[in-house]
Amino acid sequence: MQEKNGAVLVIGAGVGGIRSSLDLAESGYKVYLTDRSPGIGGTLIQLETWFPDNQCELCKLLPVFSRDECSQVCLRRDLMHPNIELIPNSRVSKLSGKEGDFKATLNIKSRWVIEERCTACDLCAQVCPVEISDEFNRGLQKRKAIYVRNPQAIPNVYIIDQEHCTKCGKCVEICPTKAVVLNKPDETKELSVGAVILSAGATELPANQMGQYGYGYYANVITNIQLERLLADAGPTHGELLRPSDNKPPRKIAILQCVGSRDMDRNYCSEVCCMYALKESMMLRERYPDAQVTIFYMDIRAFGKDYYRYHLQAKEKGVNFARSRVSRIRENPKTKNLFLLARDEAGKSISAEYDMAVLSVAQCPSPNLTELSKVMNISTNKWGFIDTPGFYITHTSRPGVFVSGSASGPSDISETVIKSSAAACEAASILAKSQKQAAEKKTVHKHQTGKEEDVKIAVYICQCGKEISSIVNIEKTKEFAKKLPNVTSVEDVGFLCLPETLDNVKQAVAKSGANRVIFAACAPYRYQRLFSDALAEAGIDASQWQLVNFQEQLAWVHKDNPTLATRKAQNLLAMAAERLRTQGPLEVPTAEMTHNCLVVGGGISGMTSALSLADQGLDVTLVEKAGELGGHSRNLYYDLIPDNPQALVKGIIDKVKSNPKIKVLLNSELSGISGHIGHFKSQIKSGDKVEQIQHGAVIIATGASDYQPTEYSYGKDARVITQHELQKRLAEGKLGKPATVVMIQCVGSRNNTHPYCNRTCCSEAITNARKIKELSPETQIFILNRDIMAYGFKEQYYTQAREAGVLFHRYEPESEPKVTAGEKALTVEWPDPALPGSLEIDADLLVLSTGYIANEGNATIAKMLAIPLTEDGFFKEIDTKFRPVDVILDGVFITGLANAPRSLAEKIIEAQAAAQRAANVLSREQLTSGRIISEVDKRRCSCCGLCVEACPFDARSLNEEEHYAVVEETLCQGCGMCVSVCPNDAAKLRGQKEKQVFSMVEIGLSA
Amino acid sequence: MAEKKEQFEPKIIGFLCNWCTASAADLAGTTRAQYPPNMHPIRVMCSGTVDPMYVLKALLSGADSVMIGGCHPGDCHYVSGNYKARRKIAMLKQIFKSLGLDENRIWLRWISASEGPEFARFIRQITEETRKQGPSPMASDWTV
Repeated sequence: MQEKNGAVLVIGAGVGGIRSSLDLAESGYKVYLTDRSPGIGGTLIQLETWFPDNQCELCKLLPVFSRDECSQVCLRRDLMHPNIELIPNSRVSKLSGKEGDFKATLNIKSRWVIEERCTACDLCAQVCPVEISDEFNRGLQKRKAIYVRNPQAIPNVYIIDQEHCTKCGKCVEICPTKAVVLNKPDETKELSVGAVILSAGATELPANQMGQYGYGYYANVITNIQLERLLADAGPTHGELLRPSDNKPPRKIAILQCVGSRDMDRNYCSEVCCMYALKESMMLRERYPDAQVTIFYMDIRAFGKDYYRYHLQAKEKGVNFARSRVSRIRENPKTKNLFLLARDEAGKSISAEYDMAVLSVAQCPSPNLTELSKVMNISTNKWGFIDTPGFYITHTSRPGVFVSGSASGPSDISETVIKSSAAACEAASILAKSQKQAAEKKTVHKHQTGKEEDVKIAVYICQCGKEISSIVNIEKTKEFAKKLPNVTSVEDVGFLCLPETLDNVKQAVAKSGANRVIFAACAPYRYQRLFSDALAEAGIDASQWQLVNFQEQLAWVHKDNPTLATRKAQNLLAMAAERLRTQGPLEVPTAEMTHNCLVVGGGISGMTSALSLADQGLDVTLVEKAGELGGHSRNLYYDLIPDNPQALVKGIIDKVKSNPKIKVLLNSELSGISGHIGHFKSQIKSGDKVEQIQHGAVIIATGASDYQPTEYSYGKDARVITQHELQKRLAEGKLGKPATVVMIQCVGSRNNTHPYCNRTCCSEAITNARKIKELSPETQIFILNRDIMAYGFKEQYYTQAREAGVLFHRYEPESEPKVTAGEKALTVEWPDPALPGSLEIDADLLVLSTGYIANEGNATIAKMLAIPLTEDGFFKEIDTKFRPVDVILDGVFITGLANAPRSLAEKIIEAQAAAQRAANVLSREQLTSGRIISEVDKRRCSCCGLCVEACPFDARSLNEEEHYAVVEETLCQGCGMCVSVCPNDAAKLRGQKEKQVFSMVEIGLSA
Repeated sequence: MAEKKEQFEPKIIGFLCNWCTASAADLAGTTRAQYPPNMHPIRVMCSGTVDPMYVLKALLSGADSVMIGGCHPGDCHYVSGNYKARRKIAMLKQIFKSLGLDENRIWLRWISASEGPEFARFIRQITEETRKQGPSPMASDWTV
């Protein structure tokens, strides 16, 4: 075996890059995460909220296990992990070598600001004479040539925009720490990696390219990202929506879909815009109930899990929907109001006046992506997105280079997250055999002091030049701190963060014999790693030092009240000292790990998951109810992706059967399961035999059932069939040459009984229609639909079908087609909104596009594991966007039709994603929890069970015999919910005991 | 200046959730949004961990009001902590009402990590409102 390198290069630090990096880092691989911008977050940090709750939840990407290694702070701000080396401001300029052994060259653009010396005091920006349009707020406000892109970012280091800097030198002069160095040269860096993941994202089409809408000329025509910034509290208007022309709140707002997509130039669907238009329209309606919001659209492509409900929600909230493509916008030069010119579905021209128009502009490849594809020598499709051959949509034309997120086509957050975990899985499979090249862990020799009288606290107060010392009276504060119990020394320093100062402090701490340290400086995370490492060397464990925020929460916000600010400073110090004084060392609990996985369901999803795990060297038991592997995919003969599903499925079945790491149990069912992550025990029933297996994780891929239509005399009239049956006939050459075929979409879905979109049926109808046209060009085909869900690149096949003569007609859900069975033909009658009166067509064959319904067995499995199902009976993920294959119970993952309807290619990446999420934990030696977890005071516990109910993670149970509550330490995530419900103070949170909180409160109020 | 000295300066204790409101407080700082220094923050992992006893303890120890800051509903790092906080604080306020105590001294607010300006606005509001209410009598009237 050739020796491979255990590191991965991830290009692009948006949500996709972060997901891939964390997955690989958690599995123990070294990751270089690069981004050409100065920080993490990609497109996402410009948005504040998203589907389904219209809230953020980005932090849910962070790891659950070994969480103290990773940053435990809002992910908009920072990402820290010992295995991840974040390299911002960088571009890949060369990639040589091959799978398993790449050499990448990075060009790291200089900030012209020395990162370690910048204190973010903002003095430089105040003197900078250059004002330019702020890209982060999409030109809605100005910034200086020396600036921070995103004020939330940590470290909050300034950067010089070299293109606009006039090199006047004012910033150099004023910088108190000599951090600004103009003309600081760029650097290059060589990396050896085994695999590359490209998640460089997409960008919005410049809206001024669509001249008919007057963007750039008409002040009140804005893009959707601009709208997001206007609605953002941290945006230019502090969240108040004001018309750019007169700063008045708009009353009539139009949102225009498909601006620059689904047209001749870009014949693809931008996929994400329908959902964010729905979100934005609802936000507008909620915040401004008087506002009229109208979405102009062609199809509302709300095709994902629970997206249809969201669409309905928008209707309920009073959002207007107009099925029309706006042809142009004209402005009233006096009022700056906008006239929208369009035709409605029936062809009648509409001209309406609006106060503001929002353009949902197309996602398109960025120039950066084009450059990268050339540098890396990977092929792109006709629109410039990365080409993904066949059913494996994370693969590129170059082995060892994988693609995720919008770089290979517009993708929403959950799709990006799934693709990214799948790409991580592919990379991990390549590297699995290599030696892991993870960062070395620093060993901390711990201070044993738990007794309060032995605690010695050293306090360091940072003046931050004049930033803190000009507001807080440092001398008074020092005097106050010296009198605090157990405080042995109080020092103030000029700039704590400067490497030379930190070095001195480190030595002083080691010499002084202090066993607790307080730093009064800036944001508690900014130098967390710096301080942590420095103090670890001085022998101070992470739980025995504290940062008190004298900067962001004090000096910078109380500029006009130094007296009270000093009082607050003293109180904060006293509170921190009290917490440390009463804080013993916190051990990190660990648990044993069983390194194999149970996969339930032997369809394409279960098999792919099993193979992915086996490729990473993990043992798998694959349980299948039926007598053979393959599931639903066995009935797929054609797909919109021009490749052969039958060959794919057969290939996978063969690989599974021949893999020594996978044990296949056919005609078997999961009949019982107990235990937790790392040590589940399951009973597998095969006939009369019951087998016991132990496993560390479980992947549920039990599939779904075909909906059996009761509509349109299906089953009674042989001329009425489903799309699956049609496909089979086509494949077997049994269709013949019918004169007329009518297909009806959304049969048994998007209705009251099944209020969800089945996602795959539109594609299946288009696939089958094209196939019929190929075999029998004379056959007339009518597809009766409500919205055609030809999302992403599927749009081109929708166009091709129309070009081939397939006729798409719409029907409204209120007036579904009526079918009368005649002797010669089936007469289909329905009112087409585009035409007057009703249409009548005589069909030889009626094809029903039916979807999937959840398996009845889901309820049994859900009950065994105590995990929830959705209203539609599918398994419920813990977070739709950021953890789409995880459920509330750790160690259990869901994939395939058991989760939600998906296409074949989508099933594969989702299965790989589930496998990677499982591999993250299974590949560990042991399972490590966090320092802050809950514990039980057995003497006080009355075994009432309130904490068991309150725990969101099932980490608590009752020991009924001994009569107290028990904490499963690895499952506990330290939220403290149990603490607040416990009536007896028996539930305690390590690091935040009630006694500590009480004394902190008292002390915080004493001065 | 003389006027300022006589002004009543309320003492406020704030329990800020680690994921949202504490981050918002930092963002208020980096954007230099100004607010009065009367609120003394205690960072907790989740608003749901705030035991009503913590609030009581603060009021009995001399706080003139107490704030609890969490993530917006639907956006809890621990799935549902903020919903639990909402119930508990609603219950606590109800108890205050029935005991004839001033429930308006307890403030629950959802402030997300990106809402730095909102954090500053809210601290200005709670400080001003508490100033109007005057010193809380609870610390002097009650002993436990």
